[in-house]
Amino acid sequence: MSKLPVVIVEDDESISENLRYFLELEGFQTHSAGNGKEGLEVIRGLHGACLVLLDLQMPVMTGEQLLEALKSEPSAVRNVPVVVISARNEPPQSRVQAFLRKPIDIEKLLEIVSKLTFKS
Amino acid sequence: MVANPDSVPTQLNADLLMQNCPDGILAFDLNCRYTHWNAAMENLVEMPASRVLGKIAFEIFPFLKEIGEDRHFLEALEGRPSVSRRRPFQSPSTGREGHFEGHYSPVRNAKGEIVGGMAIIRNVSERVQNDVNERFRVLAEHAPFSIQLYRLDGQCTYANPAWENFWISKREELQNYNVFSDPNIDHHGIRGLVTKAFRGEPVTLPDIYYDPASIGKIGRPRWLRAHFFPIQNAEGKLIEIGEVAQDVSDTKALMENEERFRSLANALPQLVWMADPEGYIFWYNQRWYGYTGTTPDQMEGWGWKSVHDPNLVAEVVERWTAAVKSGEPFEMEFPLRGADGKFRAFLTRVNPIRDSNGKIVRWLGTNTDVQELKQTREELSASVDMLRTLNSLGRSFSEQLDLDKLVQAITDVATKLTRAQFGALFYNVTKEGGDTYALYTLSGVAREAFSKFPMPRNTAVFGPTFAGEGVVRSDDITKDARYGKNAPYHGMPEGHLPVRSYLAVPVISRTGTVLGGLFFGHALPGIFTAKDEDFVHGLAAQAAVAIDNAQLFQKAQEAIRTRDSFLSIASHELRTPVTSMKLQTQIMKRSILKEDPTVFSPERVSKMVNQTDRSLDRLARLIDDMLDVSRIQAGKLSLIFEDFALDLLIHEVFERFQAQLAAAKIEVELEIQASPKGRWDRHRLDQVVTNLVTNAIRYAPGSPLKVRIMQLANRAVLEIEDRGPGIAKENHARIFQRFERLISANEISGMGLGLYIVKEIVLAHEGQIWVESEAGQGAKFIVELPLESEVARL
Repeated sequence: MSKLPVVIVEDDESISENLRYFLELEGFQTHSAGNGKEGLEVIRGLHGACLVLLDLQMPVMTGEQLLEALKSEPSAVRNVPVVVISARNEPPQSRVQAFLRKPIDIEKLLEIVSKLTFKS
Repeated sequence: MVANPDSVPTQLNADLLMQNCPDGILAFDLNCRYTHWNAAMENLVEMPASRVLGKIAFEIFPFLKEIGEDRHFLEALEGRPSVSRRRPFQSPSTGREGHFEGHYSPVRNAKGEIVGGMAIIRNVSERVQNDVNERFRVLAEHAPFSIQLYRLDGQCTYANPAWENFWISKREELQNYNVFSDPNIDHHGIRGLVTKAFRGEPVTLPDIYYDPASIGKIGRPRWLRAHFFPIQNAEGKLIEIGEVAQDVSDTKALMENEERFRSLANALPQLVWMADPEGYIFWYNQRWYGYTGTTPDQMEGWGWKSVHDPNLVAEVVERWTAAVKSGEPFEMEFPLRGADGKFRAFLTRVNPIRDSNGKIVRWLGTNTDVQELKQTREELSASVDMLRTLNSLGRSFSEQLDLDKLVQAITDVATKLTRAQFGALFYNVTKEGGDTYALYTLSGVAREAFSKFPMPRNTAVFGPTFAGEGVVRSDDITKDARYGKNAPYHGMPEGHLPVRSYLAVPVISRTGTVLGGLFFGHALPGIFTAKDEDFVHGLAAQAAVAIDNAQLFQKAQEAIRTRDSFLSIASHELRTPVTSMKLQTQIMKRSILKEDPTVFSPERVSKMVNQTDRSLDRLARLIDDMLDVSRIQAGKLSLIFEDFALDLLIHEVFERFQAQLAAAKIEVELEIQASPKGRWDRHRLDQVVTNLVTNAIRYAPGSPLKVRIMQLANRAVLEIEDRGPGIAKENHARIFQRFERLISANEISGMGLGLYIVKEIVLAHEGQIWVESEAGQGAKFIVELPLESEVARL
């Protein structure tokens, strides 16, 4: 059984580092990006075969802008599963697989990530 | 004389008799040729016998046929005697008139055959005269007025029965009455007139007031009017004087009433007139002529139409005609032209005056000047309208809390209602931080028409409005003493819309602050009235309240928005370090539960401790910033002063940031031109420099940073210049405001409080901070601090 890699798009280094450490500890393959633009490149590189953990408030390209940019991507990239992690109260307008509010409950994160990275 | 002695019986006696008979005797033959014409006939007809004898009667006197006298000739020749009575006759030779009576009979010869006719002609003129006298007597005896006859010497010879009633006297008393002996003719001053009458001229005496008591009689005093007339005989010789007198008391009373009415009417302030039952005006009072400047000739009948408004006269005539026809009172208001050519409004009322039978005998009309009343009424109604308009405007204004829409609505309404070609509302908006902006709305003209001109300044024309001194209204501002006094334009700038009529009113808030000014213009002179002035004055008051409210509302809304955004930013900013720490503790907790020690390896623990430390620093800084803002807001940012050199502080900060600057690939170039020493709050200035450096790291990574320290007189100057994206000019003021960040909140973390706090700290040191930058050109922040501020000296 192989799992999809997880792409962490988060500008706060500390949060990004801890998420990565935790997920790798749990046996996930991870990639990280400091803003939406970097994140989009990683996703493209993986042809959408990944799960995206997406922060919203980031410099250069925000999480919302990334979600918008995905819409004009080839279908594989366009349909990449996304879990939004944000300090905001409200989920973004774009349809995403899940919304987790900061601070995050890692048990719940693990459950969602496990489900969404499961490759049939 | 005998025409033919053979044709009549020769009888001396008869001839003598005939010639000497006082009556006229004539004879004629069967052909009606005159055969006899005696001396009396010659006298009567004034024709000698020689001219008539042998002539056919109807040929020489054609009138005989006209008066039917020929019948009597023929009847006599037929043997029948007849009498023609009272034939009027005019002598063909002298023209004198007379009345004749003819007794006709046939003349027979001895055999009894008719051979001619004869007639005895008698002058009956006197008898006719007697008949006339008789007729006069009957008339006079029954006449209802006094009739008297006088001899030429003044002696009264006749008085009719009415005279007795009239003078309350008996006719017997007249036997020795001579008008010239009557002392009353002197008393009434009529001797001259009476004398004139007795010379043969018709004379009407002035009315005499006769009180019977004056001659010891009992009776009603009355007004008498007497006429004297001459009586002449047939020859035209004056023989008598007649006097007819009548009681004119009733007429006199009527006339006096009329006279009294007319003088009363003349005294009235109204125009008064009278018309006959057909509506024909026959009399106006003096005021009518005075007001209209017309003459009675011009006004007679329907002449009044000339002083009416030509547009209304048809309706007036129509209604007046209808009133005359129906007999209903007439009432209408219309203008009448005065002598000065100007129209004034008059209320006209016309009432019919009826006699005892209810028949209209005349119409009495009055025109009352209601111009002022009308004007007052119009002004009052205009004032009420104005108040009503202001009231409703005030209400609709106060409902509008959107300032932009409100000022536009005020400008539009005011421009429309003052009939201005264009209007403008200049108003000041004070933003948070005390900066004031002058904005304006326009009505009636495109914004481009004004966009090239500077804002109106405190010139002689505009000054009073912006100083809140009151309304400025001018029929022609270009002729106003205040116009054109200020450089550089000395009047309107070239290309400005032409303005002659000018109206400006300050908009003053309830606290007395001048919020702005309403300005109205028109290219034609004399457009704005005192009423407009009152109106805009009232409107400005309503507008001031509404603008005040809208601004307060806007401020309140801004405050709410600020609070909301503060809460949202603060929540986000606080959550980020908390998220980081929470992740760590959860990972550790899970690790403990799973009895997996990996997480607690020395490398990992050391990393986590550093992360936690940074997170806590960040939290502490956020909390400090928030507290600083609270202090600033409350005016409680207190400084602790100490003496130190600015360059030392700069060194400290940059040493502290060495690692971070290196990480951001920023090369720092320190240029210390001086080492200014001053009395400042070290901790707070550290905060200022830290903030500026942090901004550079955040916004301008990968480019060199130039730091310069200088001293200009008693001021220390710090310049920090980056090569980052720069800041557009319009944002220079804004970045120092609370929660202002050039890049939207989504993009860069931080509360946006930094420069605001920095500015407040610098201001607290009585210094200045500003930015010199253009988009894409990097940014230079300059901090200028007095070496020793007033506050520091305390």
